[in-house]
Amino acid sequence: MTEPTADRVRSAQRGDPAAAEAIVQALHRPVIATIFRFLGPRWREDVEDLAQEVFLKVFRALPDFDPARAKFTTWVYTFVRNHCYDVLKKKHLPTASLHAVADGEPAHDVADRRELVPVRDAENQELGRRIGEALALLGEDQRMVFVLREYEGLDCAEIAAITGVHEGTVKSRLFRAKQTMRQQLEPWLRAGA
Amino acid sequence: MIPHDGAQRRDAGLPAAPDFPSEAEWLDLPPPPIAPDFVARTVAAVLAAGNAAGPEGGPSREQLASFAPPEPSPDFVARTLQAVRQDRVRRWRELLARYVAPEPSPAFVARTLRALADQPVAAGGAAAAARRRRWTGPLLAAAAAVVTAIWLLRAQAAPPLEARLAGAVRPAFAHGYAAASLPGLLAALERDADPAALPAGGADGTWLLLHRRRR
Repeated sequence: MTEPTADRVRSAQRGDPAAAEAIVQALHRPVIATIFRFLGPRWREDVEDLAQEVFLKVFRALPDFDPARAKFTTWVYTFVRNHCYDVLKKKHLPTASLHAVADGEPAHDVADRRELVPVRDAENQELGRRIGEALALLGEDQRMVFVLREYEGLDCAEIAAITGVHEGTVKSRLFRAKQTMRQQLEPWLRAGA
Repeated sequence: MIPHDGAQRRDAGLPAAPDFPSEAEWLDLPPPPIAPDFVARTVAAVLAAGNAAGPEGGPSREQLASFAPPEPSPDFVARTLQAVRQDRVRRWRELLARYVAPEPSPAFVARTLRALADQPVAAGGAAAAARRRRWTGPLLAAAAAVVTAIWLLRAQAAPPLEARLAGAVRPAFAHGYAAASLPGLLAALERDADPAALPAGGADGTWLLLHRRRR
């Protein structure tokens, strides 16, 4: 995500339409991408509407943004994260998490891994689909941390500011998310190697 | 493997290698010169290796990128900016509406006018105003009747015309028709401007009496 300059943000706070357009132009792709990767492919049709709602919230709160407290992109990601959580809450979508399995119960049932070996000519597309499914298996908190870290390239301090948890908690969630992703995608990763 | 033995190096065409230091010298050997960018190069190499292999053996960045988001619509930015503008206008209108008095409804206006009409103008209240309105007509009618009666009564008591004319005529002319001489004397006294002037009613015994005395 390209960080808008402080002057541009100040101009947008004063109501400059050109500055507002520049901000939307710079941020709309990463916002859409983050929402899509967090919510999953079944939200493909609604992702632009959700991104637009995020931008509405951003511009409503823009006069209150203080550059001394946070980076502008970090602040925008906070809206993305909160809006995604609100969407899931409204839809009451269940999110399965391997860590939610109680002791003694069988772990998540995974299909025969021999069948997961992809066909070479559709490997990339199939891998993308499998990554989406693996992400959907993560808990909301782990998924958000994984997407912000691995896809958007944010550091743990920024993710901690966005999610409102300690940096250690971010690292812990990230570690468990990577572990889960590795377990789910191991056949594909071996096939790709 | 590069040979260290002098003979093997000579056979391989390599220059003579320096002698190995002794065990005592080995521990005191100075460290080799380290390039200033060694640390940065090493970290970059580690990161590159980590990215290529993926986090802890997980999917690499290239593999993760295969899960690609949809391409935004060409008009997404324009639509979003328009939505932002409309949202701002709507929120301003809602804010201003809290501080702007609403237009009075027709029902409110009618109700207020009725209340003002029922409200009494002077002291006494609405009941007194109603009583006044009730008595005004009859009183006016009574007054008209009284005036008419008085006019009729005065008309009936009016004196005859000769008496009214006699009362309206000045004594200077009335004495000519008087049976006694007193009116003539009064008329003469009244003629201050020309006591000797002939009376308009013609000469008579009174004038002669007064004229003889003045002489």
